[in-house]
Amino acid sequence: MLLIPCPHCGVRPETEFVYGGDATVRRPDPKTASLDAWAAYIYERDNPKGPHTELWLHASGCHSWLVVERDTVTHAIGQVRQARDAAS
Amino acid sequence: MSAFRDRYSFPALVRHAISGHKRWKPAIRHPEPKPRYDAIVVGGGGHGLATAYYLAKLHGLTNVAVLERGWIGGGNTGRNTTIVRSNYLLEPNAHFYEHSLKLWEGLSADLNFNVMFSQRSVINTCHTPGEMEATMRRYNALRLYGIDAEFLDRAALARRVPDMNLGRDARWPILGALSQPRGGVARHDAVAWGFARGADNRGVDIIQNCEVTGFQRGADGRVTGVLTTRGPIASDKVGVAVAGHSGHVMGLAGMRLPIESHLLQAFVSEPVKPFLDVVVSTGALHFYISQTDKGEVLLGGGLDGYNSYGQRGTMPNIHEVTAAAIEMFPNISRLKWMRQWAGVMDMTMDGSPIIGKTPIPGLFFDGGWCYGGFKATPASGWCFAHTIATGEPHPLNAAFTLDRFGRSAVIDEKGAGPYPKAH
Amino acid sequence: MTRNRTAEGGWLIDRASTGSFTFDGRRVPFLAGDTVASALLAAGDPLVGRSFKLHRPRGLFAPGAQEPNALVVLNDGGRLTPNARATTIPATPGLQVRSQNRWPSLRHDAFGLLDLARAVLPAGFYYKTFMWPASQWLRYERLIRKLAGLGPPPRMADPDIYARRHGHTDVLVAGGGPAGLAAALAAGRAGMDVVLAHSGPAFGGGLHDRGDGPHRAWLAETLQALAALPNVRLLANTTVAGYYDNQTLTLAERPCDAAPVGDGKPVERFWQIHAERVVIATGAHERPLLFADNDRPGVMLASAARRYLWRYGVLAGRTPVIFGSDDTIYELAADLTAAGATVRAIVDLRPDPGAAARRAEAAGLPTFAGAMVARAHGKRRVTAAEIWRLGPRPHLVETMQADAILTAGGFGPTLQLHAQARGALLWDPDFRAFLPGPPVADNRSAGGARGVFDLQAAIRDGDEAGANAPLPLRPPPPAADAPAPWDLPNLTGGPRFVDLQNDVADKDIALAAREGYHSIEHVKRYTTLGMGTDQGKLAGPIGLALLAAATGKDIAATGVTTFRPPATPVTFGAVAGGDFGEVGHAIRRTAADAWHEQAGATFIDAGLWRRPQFYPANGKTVGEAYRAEALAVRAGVGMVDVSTLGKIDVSGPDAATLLDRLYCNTLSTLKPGRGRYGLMLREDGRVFDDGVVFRLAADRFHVTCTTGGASAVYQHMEHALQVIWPELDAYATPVSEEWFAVALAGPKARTLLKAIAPDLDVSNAALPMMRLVETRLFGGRARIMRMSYSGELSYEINIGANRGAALWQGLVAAGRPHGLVVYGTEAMGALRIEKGHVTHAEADGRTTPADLGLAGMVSARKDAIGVPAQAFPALQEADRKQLVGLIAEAADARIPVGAQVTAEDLGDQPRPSLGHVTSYAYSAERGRMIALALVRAGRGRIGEAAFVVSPVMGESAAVRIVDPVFIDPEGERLRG
Repeated sequence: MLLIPCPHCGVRPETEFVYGGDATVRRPDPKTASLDAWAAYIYERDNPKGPHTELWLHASGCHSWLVVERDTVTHAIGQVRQARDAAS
Repeated sequence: MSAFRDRYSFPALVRHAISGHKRWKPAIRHPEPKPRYDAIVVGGGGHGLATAYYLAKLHGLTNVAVLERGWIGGGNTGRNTTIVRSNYLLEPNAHFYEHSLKLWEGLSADLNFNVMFSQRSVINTCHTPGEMEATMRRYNALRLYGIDAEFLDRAALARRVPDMNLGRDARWPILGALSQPRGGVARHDAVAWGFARGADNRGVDIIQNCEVTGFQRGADGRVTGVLTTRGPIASDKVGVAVAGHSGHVMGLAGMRLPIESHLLQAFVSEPVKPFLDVVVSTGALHFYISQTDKGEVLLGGGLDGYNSYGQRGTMPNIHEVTAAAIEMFPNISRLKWMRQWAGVMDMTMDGSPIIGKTPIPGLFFDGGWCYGGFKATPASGWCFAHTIATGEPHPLNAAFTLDRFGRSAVIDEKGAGPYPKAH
Repeated sequence: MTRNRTAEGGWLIDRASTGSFTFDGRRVPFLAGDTVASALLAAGDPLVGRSFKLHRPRGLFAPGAQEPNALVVLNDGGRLTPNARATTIPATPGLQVRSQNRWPSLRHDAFGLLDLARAVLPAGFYYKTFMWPASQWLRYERLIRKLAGLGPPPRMADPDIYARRHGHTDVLVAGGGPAGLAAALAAGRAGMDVVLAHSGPAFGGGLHDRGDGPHRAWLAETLQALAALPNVRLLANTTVAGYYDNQTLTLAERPCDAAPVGDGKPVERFWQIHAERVVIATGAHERPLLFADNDRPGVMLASAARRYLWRYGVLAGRTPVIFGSDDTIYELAADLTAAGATVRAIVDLRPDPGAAARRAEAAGLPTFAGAMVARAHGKRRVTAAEIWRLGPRPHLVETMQADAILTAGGFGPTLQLHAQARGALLWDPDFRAFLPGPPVADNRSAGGARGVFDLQAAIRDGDEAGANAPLPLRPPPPAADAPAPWDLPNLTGGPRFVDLQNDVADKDIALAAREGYHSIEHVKRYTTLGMGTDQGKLAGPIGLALLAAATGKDIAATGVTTFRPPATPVTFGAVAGGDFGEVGHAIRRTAADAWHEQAGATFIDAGLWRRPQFYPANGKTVGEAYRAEALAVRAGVGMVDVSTLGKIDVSGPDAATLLDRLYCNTLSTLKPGRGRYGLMLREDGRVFDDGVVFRLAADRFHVTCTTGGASAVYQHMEHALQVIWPELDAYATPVSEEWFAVALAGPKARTLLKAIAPDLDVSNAALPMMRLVETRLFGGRARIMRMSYSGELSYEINIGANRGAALWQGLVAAGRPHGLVVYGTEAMGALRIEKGHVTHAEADGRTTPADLGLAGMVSARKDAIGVPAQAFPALQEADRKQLVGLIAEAADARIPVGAQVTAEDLGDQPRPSLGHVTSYAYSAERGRMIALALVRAGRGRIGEAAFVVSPVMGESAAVRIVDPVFIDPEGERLRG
């Protein structure tokens, strides 16, 4: 069971969240990006074995998209930030 | 002359019984790696072993090594719910999996190893008119492709699956079902061992406890071999078939893939006498169920839904799957859950596999099997062997190229889009 | 009939209180506190079961849940419980107990013949045969399946209820033996919240498996002290099943396997507990010893014999032989003798056993040093033990008559929970066992689970674990001055079983190794070693050692198999905890649901929602009803409950910018009070969802989306706002539940609207297409939006959900004079198909705007999700499936369910599919069936003939490919 410390709501079980995948991909600039850059953004992932920076939506809570550091082998959860804050 | 050191049969069992079974020859050897092979297959799961088998049998390549990090068949080959079917909607998938199903039908005889392929029907129950439309559409497509499919109304279902809850008061009552009669299950470990024995007996070196830690490349960028925990091994052709860990291994070659690794779980009960002799799969309740030859009730459900390489069961999933299973089979409530396990799935961005060349000459890739890996085992090996041996894909795997994503030429069976957890 | 009951003693029984249950129809007396196993043993017949593969007769063997042989069936009907461990089932009056996996009876099992054929049934024999003829495998398999399995499957629904509980605790102690009790007390006294889970009914565990002494006073005091601590929760009959990531554990609390009937209480409770710290005090398991026919009824672990004696006052045998390699065998011999048994022999593997042996000999007990039991005699029960002297020239010393052989092969810690929590297992050659390595999660093993077998030391260890003291060093190993259990020679021939339940013998392991199966995981799977209901607790260590010997590796290098939850099997019912049916998935109902119900609506599931599919008042069958309903809309006025559509309020200074980026068409140019159809794409360029967007104010929009897409669209919006463009100052709020929504449609819709809103100007000039007005209706705030899904003059009225029923009923009443017909989803679908509107049947996640004929909606003048992807080559291909209409050639033709589209009607012959039907309905206006379809390069085929086919159902119909808009292509009706 993953337990995710939501900055607003406190520690909550994974069943309250919706997973959003790799948080490190960045939407290309539509003015300059090549089609290859779009394909990479849409389809390619690092998929690391170990530390992973990923998005979770607290769907049954405050509706915040969170950026969560989580280990994909041990499932240990590290830093959790709001996606809005992480972007700035 | 037999291609096998020991031919397996009932008379052979009787003969060996007389000598107390002390004269059986090894099914597989445990050789030391040679410095160079004509081809190397990375990954000693069902797919890698099948690839080596068909390289040896069909393409005459016997100076081949299969490199396995742990023990053969220890990844997803040994962690699935053993379902074999070819009831896919989209043409590339349907033809590929039908080829696989046909190979399955002759596999025990071909391998002289009983893989217990049991064509006991795979049944998809439909719970809403929309689900009925979509499922019927898929099965109608199968018939146009020349693949078997049939409809079961509620009365037929009641006869075929007597313990199924066909009550109208169910949360999602069953309206009917579609069935692929030629679908079924097989003994998963036997598939790995059967292919391993077949390959080994033809001269392939299966090297266990040998982890690939890097790729060697020539000045022109071509692959020239691999680095392993047991030293470097040279070869001009390297095929990688390590589904679940594709991202990690191909990452050693500097490649990013359209793949995420996700957990898929399964559970079994303690064995009981037979009451369920088909495989039942349901959309609305999102689980599948069968009963093994040992008598265990085998349950599986959806993905855990987040990237993971942790090969162990988790809690929320078993709760949902079990609840759904009891809803549909109220008689299993008092059976005891005995074992839970998880496999790491290569989930691609379109839910379909990848078998083909890579941008690196000499390096071939087979992975992205999502849920379909086990049933694909023979055809995956068959197509991958063809691709490695000839350098070009076979028409059956021509659609499953890695570069399809660059063109957005996806094969999206579910229409779920580039969200691996949704496939 | 209780020949093995002692004259006195038994910590857990009450000799004053008696009862009886039946075993295979035979009455078995018991004393209160007995288990089914202890009562059966007391009754004197050791035969309780048959093995899985060879159907060999078997008796009680191990203490507790790991019992491999005494698996029985309880009850019948819905409460039928197979594979119940007789060792853990309390004996209760009238309980029906049956033996299993035998036919026709336990004593005379016809399948016992398999044992005679075992020479041709070695490990993995089925991989080598049943291959000829290949077509017959299913037949062979049917027979194999009948022979396999243990107990009978229940065939009826379980009438009992199960509960789920969630909890949090500072310390979870698994195991209520001496170490666990001490740990709970230490942690409780330190002020921690403690949960102590004990698998049995009596806290104390192994303390009850020995005679009187100071430990009994300690137990009483400790239990009293624990009971006085309000922060300690004691859970008896509770096993810790799973130890998952992030300190989540599951506990199965089962008051009783034999469910009490009808008192409304759950028969089992499944706990999910988050524990800051876990103390694993689950004790140790005794290892079996290897000798020929070591599976005969009467062969029993010494730990089980001790348990039967001290807990229940039952002798494992009246004339036992005791065999082992440490001093405990002499204690056991003395205890049994004192209780009335005649110990025939004590057989000690050690050549020089020391003082205990001399004392026993002095007391007149026959002892054999440097000897072993090499073979058990007897079939359905032990009749004798062959005692052989070990040494350079082993030889038979005596064949001793005996009715039981009790074996003491040494203990190994239980490692399940430690291993589940990813802790390593370290082979310790001195212990001849795996010990828990350093824990990875927040836990610590204590007592026997860590190799601390001495009672006082275990209590100390538990106390330290409870107080969270640093983990001490490795405990002192027991003396190992005898051959290891797996090194005993097979002196007589005959099968020596390692895994009793699955009939795996030592030579099976040797065979697997010989054939190249060298990994322990391969051996497990090839031989089924450790795959039984005890999941290798008994057989694991010996099997491993035998494999190591066979492959010439050491045990540490051979490794162990993975330990997986559950540590002890748990019923599916408990795991599900009743969360199925409407409890698991509540039905969502709209505010007018009660009216629909009363009107006799036939409902259809739309995700969790239920919606009226049709109203039987309008026609007997779904087909008749929807045709009548749709016709009434086209001719007069109809209304439909559309509350389930998703609604999102988007506000803020950048709301318009956000919507422009979310939809492929432009919405920022909307004026307040006006609406526009919007098309939303995924980033990969495929259509995601659609709906109508109304601008309420400069900085506020009312967005609608599909019923099925509601939550995904909202999540997508938040993703855009919080992740992609956090700089945008806008807010999205899901408001689906706040509004009740109804659509009025038909030429008389305006008349009806006028009737309920007499003061509102609803003229075409004041309220034209895609215009919104706010007003009050039926005491609630309402929004009226002129829009059309049906193609008719149509309005959608939204009102606060609490006024929904009032609005609905008000409309019904107001509509009566105008011939208002209420319609369901089926008619709604028929109307939109006639109009060529798409739903998720067409926008199936694979289609692009261009595929659906909506390419014109994609604005190239702005950035929006999914617009750049339109440039991908695959989206330009000429033979993509495109939306077209199909119309039946014959007026009475039917469109089959799930039809494919083909060029020719060739029955069941394989042929290319041109595409598929996505939706279909009867069109009253066209007087025949019509359909929407996705057809390869379909727009170029308009006018061509084709067939809709269902080879599965053997149905087909001739159709013509047409434009997907079947009525009023100019849209005059809806603007009228």
